[in-house]
Amino acid sequence: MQLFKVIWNNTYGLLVDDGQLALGALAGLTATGAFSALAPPATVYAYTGPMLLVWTCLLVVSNLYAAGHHAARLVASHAVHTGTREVGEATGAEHRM
Amino acid sequence: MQTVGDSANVIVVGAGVVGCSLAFHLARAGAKVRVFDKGGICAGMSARSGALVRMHYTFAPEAELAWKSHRYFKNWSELVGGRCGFVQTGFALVVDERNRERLIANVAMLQRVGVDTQIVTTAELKKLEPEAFVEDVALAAIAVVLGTALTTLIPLHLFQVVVGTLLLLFGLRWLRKAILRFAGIIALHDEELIYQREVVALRAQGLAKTGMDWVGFTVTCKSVLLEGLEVVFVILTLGAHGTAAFHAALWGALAAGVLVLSAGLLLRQPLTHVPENWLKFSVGALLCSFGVFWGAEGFGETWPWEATTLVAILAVFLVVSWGSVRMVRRMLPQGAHIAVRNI
Repeated sequence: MQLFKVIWNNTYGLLVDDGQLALGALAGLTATGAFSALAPPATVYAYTGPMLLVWTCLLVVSNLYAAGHHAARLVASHAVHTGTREVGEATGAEHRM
Repeated sequence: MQTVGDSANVIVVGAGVVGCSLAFHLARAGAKVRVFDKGGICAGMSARSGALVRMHYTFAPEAELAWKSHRYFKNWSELVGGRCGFVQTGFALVVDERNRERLIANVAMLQRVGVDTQIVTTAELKKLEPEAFVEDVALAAIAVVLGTALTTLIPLHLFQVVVGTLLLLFGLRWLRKAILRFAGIIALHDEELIYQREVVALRAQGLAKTGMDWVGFTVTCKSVLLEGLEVVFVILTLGAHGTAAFHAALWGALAAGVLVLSAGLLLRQPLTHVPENWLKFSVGALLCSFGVFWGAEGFGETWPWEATTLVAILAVFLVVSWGSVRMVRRMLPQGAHIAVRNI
């Protein structure tokens, strides 16, 4: 059992760093699959790839925007907490979004 | 008002392979033909065929039709125009002793029709197709066994979707981290320090004086088997187009393996001077590009410039990533520097 747990953790860690990003990618692939099953073939041949590419790019940008926003809040709260506008390192903060 | 009758004297309903072939031959014979289809050219079962062109049929008229169409596939650009992607690979049908007489009669019928076919013994088959007996390399053997079974049982597009999904997940993970490092949100890696910590942690967990070192076993398995299987899947995906493509992919992978090992030995020192994050960023963008390319192809996309489209996809990812680094940097207050893990 322990062995399977270690294997699972290793495999999961290999593919997933941020749950939202991984779920977003899987959602995009599922939506692309649904589109290819429902749309007329000529549309599928032409638009499936661009659709998946645009989705992935939007996903990356929105995920990084959220990460940046969160980091900015951490910086601000650290500054407020220490009562200074000078921002230092918050190396101790380990926070999963 | 113009009617269809004004512009055509023959109407073909259905633009599948049969309808198009009919229209083509009628037009060549001088007829004015119009083809109608509710979904587009080859939108139905024609697009879902296995794309196998064979002459071996047991029904004589069918074999005759196949043999006549063979001339068109072989000389497509002259007879029809453009390319149809036909590659002649040969076809071998292996039967056991019980079906011997039936096969002899079948081959005699095919030869009467004109099909270039003959009966060979096992030894002669080995001479004709020696590469079918590749068994000297461990991964090659796996690829041969899995390749035969999986490519027969599982459709190619499903392979592409699975491989594309794995590559995309893996690539996004690397790309995100590399972008966050460039933006200064997470600290740049100190690979040497991480390696030392990992070694200490693993030794603390796994190294018993007696008994099996399961942690060491698992880590080794993950590193070697997963990477190896990744290569196997790539071979299967590329090689699913036929025996020749499969062998080409297999030898290509072996050659690449030798090349990568040699390059690794030669570039080991120079590569240590390239910042680690640049390497991870490039690999992340490449994996994402391959993931989107194969994933979409598995879902039915026909990329306009085939594999060359990968370069365009990579360019899109690089531009988006560069923009993301700038965006995230701007979101942080001037002079701010944080190092938060798992943000």
